[in-house]
Amino acid sequence: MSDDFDAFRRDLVEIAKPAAPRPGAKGRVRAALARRFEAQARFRATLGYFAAAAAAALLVLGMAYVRRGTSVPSVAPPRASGDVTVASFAPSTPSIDASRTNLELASGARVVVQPGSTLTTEIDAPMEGRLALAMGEILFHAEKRPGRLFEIAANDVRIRVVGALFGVRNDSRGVAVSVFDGAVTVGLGAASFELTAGSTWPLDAAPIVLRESALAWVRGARNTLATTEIAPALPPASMRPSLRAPSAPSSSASSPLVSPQASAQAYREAKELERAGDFDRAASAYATLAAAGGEHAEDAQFALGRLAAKRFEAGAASDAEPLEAFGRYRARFPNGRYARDVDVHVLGILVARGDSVRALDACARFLGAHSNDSRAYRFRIARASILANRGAPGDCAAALRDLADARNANGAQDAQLEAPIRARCAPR
Amino acid sequence: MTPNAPRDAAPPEGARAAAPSFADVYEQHFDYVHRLVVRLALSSGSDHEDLVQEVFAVVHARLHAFEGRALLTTWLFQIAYRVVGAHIRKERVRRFALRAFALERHDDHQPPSAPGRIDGGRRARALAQALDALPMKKRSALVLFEIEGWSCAEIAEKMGIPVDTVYTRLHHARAELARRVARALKEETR
Repeated sequence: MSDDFDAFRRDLVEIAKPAAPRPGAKGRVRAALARRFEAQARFRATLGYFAAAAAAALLVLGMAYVRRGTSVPSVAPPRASGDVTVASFAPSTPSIDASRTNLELASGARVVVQPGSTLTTEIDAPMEGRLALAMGEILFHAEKRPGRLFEIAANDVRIRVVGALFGVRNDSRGVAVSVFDGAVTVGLGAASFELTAGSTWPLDAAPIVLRESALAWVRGARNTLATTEIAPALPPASMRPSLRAPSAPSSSASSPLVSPQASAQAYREAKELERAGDFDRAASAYATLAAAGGEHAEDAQFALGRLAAKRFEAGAASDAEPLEAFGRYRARFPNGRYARDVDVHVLGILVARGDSVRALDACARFLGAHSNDSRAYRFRIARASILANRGAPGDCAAALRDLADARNANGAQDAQLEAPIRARCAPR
Repeated sequence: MTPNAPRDAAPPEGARAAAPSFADVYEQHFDYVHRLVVRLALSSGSDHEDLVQEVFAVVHARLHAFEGRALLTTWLFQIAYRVVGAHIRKERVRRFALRAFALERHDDHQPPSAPGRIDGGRRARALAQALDALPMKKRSALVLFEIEGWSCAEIAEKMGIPVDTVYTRLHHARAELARRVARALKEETR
């Protein structure tokens, strides 16, 4: 063997890279280490603050729990700049069960919170008020006043308003906004557009119902932190048309991309840009289209993830970018027609970044739900590869079981993909 | 003595040496760690300086636990070996994923050459790929012996294994390398 190997020895030495550091390497690594150690020290320092904040939050929650039996929710409306008030309206809270809770902010804006909603309010500069709707439905009304601006966040959707009457819903189907009076600016990622009275976004979402009693309260009677009975859903006559699917001219006026024709045209153009390799402009076009909520909003939202995955592939983006984009898709279209393709992309990214725990979890969930799907082959191969690579007792047996079951879309097995896994699990 | 390794005195029998400062370790052993990383990682993925940084981050975190029972260079070798090994494992999975999910172009695919014509460049490339594909244990023994010129006894000491195991790994590494290169060249000439 040694004689045979002599032929390779010379080549081996030749192909070996120079092992001496490049000029300045010592300084570069030292600087990088200094930054790293500094960041670690900062992290340790802030950990203490977080622990204190968590303890304070636990204390507040504990107090709220103790006061559950009272007739008024254990929150106070924000009164002054800098106040932070957490108002969690759990459905089990007796005082607000089966009723709405009315909030009046110090600035005069009024919010009707539906039971079961989780709303966080925060008053700070330069925003006059910021609310985060984690779950549920609210009706918001603010009179237009120069220099005053509110922002309501629901998942990754931001609604900015100066003065308007509108509702926001955040549930398993995603976020929906209905404007009853005035106009709001809806922002999603880098894109934003205006939504005017009589419009609901996204177009295919069920419009939010405006109830008369709620309308009466937000516009008139002052009843801070009181509760009111649920009234029958009877919108005022002037608003009834807007509570159904908005007519084409109305939606076109609010956002030119929500009509089916305009949406299809914009989607075609974005695809052309993508085909031509102009990924930045394509991404911008897809983002606008996705935010507008028209017929091709779902296609556009998926395309954004696809483009981000391409950027990741080219090394131009971190794995966070496609994961975030696909996360947005999942939030908006949990049962969308690209949901399984999103699963495949996300799995690829998880495996690529070596997150084997989440990748195995993703495989288990996909194969548990869609074991006969044509994409299941990739999940089986990925799981087998991770297990074979991990090499814990029983892993190889499980990997080989996966391979035995694995068939691609053509009903065949891909020897090139499977060979390294079988080699790793071969008895030595 | 291992070539290019900085001299550090052997610890007295049973004695516990005072832990050196991180700055001293960095200054005196940077080139040694860099060389180790380049040799052990070969062409596996990221910049070697990132891996050197990883090694020294571990050194920084663990230096207080260095008891001086082994040579400092042996201790550094063990850290570098583990850091590079973990990196190679991740890199293999990453490459597999990128290929399996069609996220990576197959840039390494070359058009087949005319039958019977194998130039030195192809042979070198086949050799580099075969070396990259060798398991870490075999590869490191081969590289340290054939390229770095370490003796089997030195490799055994640094890796903390019996000398006979080094001989075995070298034997299997050479055989596997020759097999892989022959197969790659055969496929190219088809």
